[in-house]
Amino acid sequence: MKIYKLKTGYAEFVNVLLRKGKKVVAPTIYQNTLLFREINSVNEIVLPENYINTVRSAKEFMFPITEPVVEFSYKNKELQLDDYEPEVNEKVIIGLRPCDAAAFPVIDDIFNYEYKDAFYNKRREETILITIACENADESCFCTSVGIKPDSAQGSDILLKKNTAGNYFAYASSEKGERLVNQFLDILEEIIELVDENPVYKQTAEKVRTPLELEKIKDWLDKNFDNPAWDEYGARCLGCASCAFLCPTCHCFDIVDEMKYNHGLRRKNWDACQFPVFTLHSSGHNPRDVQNKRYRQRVMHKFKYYNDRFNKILCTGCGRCIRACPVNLDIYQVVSGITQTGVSK
Amino acid sequence: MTPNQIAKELLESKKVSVVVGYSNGSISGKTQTLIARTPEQAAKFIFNKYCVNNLAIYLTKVYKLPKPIGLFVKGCDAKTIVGLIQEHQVKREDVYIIGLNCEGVTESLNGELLGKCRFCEVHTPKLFNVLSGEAISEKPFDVSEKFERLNQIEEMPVEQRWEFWMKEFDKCVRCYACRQACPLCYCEQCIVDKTQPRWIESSAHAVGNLSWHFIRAFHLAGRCIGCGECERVCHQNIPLGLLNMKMAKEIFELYGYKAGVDADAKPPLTDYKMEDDQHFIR
Repeated sequence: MKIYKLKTGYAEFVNVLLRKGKKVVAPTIYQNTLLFREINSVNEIVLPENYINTVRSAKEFMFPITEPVVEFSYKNKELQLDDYEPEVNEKVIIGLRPCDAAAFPVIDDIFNYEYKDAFYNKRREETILITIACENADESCFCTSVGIKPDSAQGSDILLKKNTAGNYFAYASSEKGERLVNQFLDILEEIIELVDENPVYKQTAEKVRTPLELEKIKDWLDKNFDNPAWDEYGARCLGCASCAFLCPTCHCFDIVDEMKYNHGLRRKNWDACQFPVFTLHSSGHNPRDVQNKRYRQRVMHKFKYYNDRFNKILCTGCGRCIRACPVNLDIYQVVSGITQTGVSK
Repeated sequence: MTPNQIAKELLESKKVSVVVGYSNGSISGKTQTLIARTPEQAAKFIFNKYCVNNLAIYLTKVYKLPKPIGLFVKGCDAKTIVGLIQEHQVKREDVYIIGLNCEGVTESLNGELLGKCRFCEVHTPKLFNVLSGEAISEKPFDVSEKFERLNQIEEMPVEQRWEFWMKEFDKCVRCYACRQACPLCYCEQCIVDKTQPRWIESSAHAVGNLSWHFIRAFHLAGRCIGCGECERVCHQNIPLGLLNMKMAKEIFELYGYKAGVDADAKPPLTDYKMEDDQHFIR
């Protein structure tokens, strides 16, 4: 991994990206909410020291909340199907956290399992991720419990870290990152190795919740598809799916056809396993008819099924589900609790 | 008596099957729902200014708890139960209300109270089986104060107001947390989940999002008691409470009706009187 010293500060770096004509997506305040959006001016960005994480993860730039996939129309009573070509441009997402970047290598597997999702893959190829290492964490963060660190480069094309003097360093961690770096050599200077490693990243790691015993959790889940613990969680869960919609690794979608007169679009929309209609069969039967079964699905998918299939945990410890849960049903507490007592709290 | 003691006694005497209340949360500013089935578990109950949730949700939603249910209830939450009784969703005898005096709740660490609490006129619940502590004095209902936040929006020129809402709805991801957290959104099949015919597009585009928030506001007209749960759970910070407040204001001005006050009253949209205002029927 090549390391470059930035001759500018963070904001000026964003400015240079914009000046050179890059499409830049960065955390910005939109209608009172911290979201990733395309920016036109550096004044729109929120500086990394002012946020722990954005409300929504960066996944929507590869896997949009809603997107057309097929176009169809009736001409002379004949159905005509047309591939829908998404407009995908090269863009740079800057300011995402290591937990968000690390989500992409995890969900790459499912979007390329059996069927290769052209929409996801095209966006993935055209998007450069510039991650910013975390100098702070809050009570919901638990990245170190699932194999990520506040300064991990996994999934990033470029990782930005500060040295103790406050200068930024760019770690080009992929070919894409390397290519971008080569376009900006006037503001970057290659160095051999970072000598004054900033202790702040270690300190941040110490702030996040202590490691989960992933093997023990997996072992418990393997044996406890039926367990009264699920009833306890199901009874508390409102089934609001905030967790799934904010999660950087949740990837389930629904396919719907929307039509006006004789023309329509088939769309791929975010969906969540917490909804009763998610598994409702056309016969009327619903295999996950109650909330405890739906909550169990969420935990099982994250810590067992995905692990069985891809040998990965479907969680990067970003903590969004914990921050957003209206009843404080805390997944960290749940999975650390079940291994100890069968029922947490 | 503290709510813990009340809960413990209720479970010991088997007057209730479960007690639903609050316990310490895992992060600052949050409390966790606790469903106690034994007197021992009741020791974990707490009540403080972070007890924001409207627990009446557990009477109608998701998981059917065994009855009768003991419930921690603040003044505003009691209004929900009034609404649910009016609409025959809950039988009065199936819920044992542990009334709690409340001087306002918050989720913020700086202690700033939720908007609804600033104009609260029910610090003590109007409906309860047992009250923890002594009833506290009430502020009278003041229409101008109550709808203050709404007036700011209504004063905007129509184009600006449209732009405001379109920008707000633009953030909506259609997670339906607003619906799930609403104790009065109890339909077994929500209109948005109907596919044959599809009344409301489920996609998170401008048309779909506008239709969804529009229809939800209409379905709650004259029913929403203003607990604010929809707005609280919206992680996209869409000011959903304003939509419901608008409907509440219309209903109040047209029929002089306030939802959640009288369990024997007929909600105006299910009732008809000769003297009802008809100016909008043309």
